[in-house]
Amino acid sequence: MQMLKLLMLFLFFWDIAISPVCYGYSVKVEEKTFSEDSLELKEPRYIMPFEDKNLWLLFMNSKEEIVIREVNSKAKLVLNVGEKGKPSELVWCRGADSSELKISWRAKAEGKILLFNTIDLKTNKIDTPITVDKTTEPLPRIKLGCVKNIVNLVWYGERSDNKGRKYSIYASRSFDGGKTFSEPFEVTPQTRASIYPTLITDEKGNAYVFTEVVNENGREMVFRKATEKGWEEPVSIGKVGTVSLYIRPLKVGNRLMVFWFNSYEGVPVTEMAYSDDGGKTWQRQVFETTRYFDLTGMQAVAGDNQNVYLVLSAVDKSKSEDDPRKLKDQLLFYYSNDGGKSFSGPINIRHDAFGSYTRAHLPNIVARGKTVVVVWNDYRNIRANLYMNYSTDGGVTWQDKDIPLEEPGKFNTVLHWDVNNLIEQQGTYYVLAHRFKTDAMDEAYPVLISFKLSK
Amino acid sequence: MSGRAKNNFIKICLLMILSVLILSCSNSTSEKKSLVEDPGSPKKVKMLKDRASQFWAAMVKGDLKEAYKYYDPFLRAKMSPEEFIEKHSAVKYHEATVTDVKVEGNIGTVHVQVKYSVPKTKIRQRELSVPETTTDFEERWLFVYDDWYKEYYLKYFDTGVAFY
Repeated sequence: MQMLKLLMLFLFFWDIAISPVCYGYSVKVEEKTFSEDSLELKEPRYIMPFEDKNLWLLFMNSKEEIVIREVNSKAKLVLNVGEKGKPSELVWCRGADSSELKISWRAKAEGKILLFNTIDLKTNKIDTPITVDKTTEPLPRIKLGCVKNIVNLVWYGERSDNKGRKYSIYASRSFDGGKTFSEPFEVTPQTRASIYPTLITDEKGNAYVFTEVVNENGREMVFRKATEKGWEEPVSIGKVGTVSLYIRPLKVGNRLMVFWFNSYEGVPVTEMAYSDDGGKTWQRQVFETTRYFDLTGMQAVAGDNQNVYLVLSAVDKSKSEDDPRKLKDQLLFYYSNDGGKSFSGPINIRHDAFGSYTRAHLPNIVARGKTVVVVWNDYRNIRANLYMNYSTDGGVTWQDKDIPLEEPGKFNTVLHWDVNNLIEQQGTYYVLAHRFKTDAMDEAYPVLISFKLSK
Repeated sequence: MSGRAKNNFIKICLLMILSVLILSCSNSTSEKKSLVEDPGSPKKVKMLKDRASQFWAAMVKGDLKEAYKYYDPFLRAKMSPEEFIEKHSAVKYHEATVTDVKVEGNIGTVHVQVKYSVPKTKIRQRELSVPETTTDFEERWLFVYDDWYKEYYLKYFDTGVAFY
């Protein structure tokens, strides 16, 4: 009996103390590689959870195929078989039926076109793609949102007007699940240059767009909303600096908010604004602690209506020339426990004694209530590795040690610069990255890493 | 089953589980040997000093093929030994001494004193030569998974191949 007890005790400690891959940490990590696929590195890629159990990946491969791959069976669907034109930029949303997937992309053949298609993942039926637009000269920045039969598409186009080439944001909507779309609508007609489309689609199918607008009066952050009645008049959130890449919108309960990265006379800073009256009036805030921080990554999520989280990676341009931090990205984390009205100061979530010599960037984030998990690209082992840390008290305190999600130093595994590819499904976290085949870092395949937090 | 047989059976089970444990961790054996998470133990410091000394001994011997092996894997993935030798054969090293090393995680700083010369050579129609000269400098080494490697860094362009 004593031996049996010993055995039980042994099995108990084996289960709680040692992860399947034995990285020396208590978090169990598993990975699934897709080395048969060669990714088109510039293009976005996504994890698509369906029916709470199935996971699918969406990406573009180096043969210009748009691939939908089931994670467990590795079953592969190619969306653009026989389609002319080089595809670029991919976006997706879930249709009214939980097995229905809607995808939009831009293709360039004789002209620039914006395409849309629906796929039924139960039957693997792929419809003939619909051309949503070929008049605005769409460029590869597209946003897509679906609720029931409403589909909202917003994109960046370069159609010329009587003053010459004009960069503007356009939108098209469908009220029949994507069978037909409205004519392209210019969301930012007052602009001479508006290049970053964003989109939130709420539970009623209303569309909310935030974008920087450049006109005779300078630069403004503009908000515009569409309901079932059509597009409302644009609202200026206020003057902004020169916006670079990152505009992240959120809807938390009835509160609308937007975070953006801009520079005033070369000095970078991150700002935000929120509205409690559906976008009519806006309160602005500057993250003063981000002044001089040149951003390389930004993600914002809500855990619930109270807990909102912002994570940035940035290079501190205020450091002196001989300080390595002037060149190396670091992570900055902020939390709000009043639904985004106010934020904490920056919280250090990376723990590396020699971190000033190596980069930490491209944070991905997911939150549920006060549990918040961040995965980022960490170069402490010189090669790009994925590291994770988490908080269970709303972002106030974090684990003392960062947790590697792969064998430290062995591979070059990289997150996408823009897409937040960290999800939680029934207590398991999944992060999608690409892993380079060699140190030449020219060819890579998808890798899906999953983990559970220690209890 | 008698008590003794039962005990033996459990012992066998235990041994089998232990074997599974050892085998299932075999993937991480190399990781355990790897000093990639070592902040700077004497062993890691000695490894750096040995590697840097071996590299400079190869340079003094004029064995660029051997020296190439000490460069970071990012450089070696992009530049063949032949190309490396062709680009780096102008400078002759007569003496080299590693005078100091410092380890901060996977970043190594190596202090070297060298005596070098550049025999008459033509670069873009211009003749260039440097007489025997003694100098000392710091160079960066990187611990990449299994060992220390000299970072390939072009000071003139302020750029290297490794992105970290």
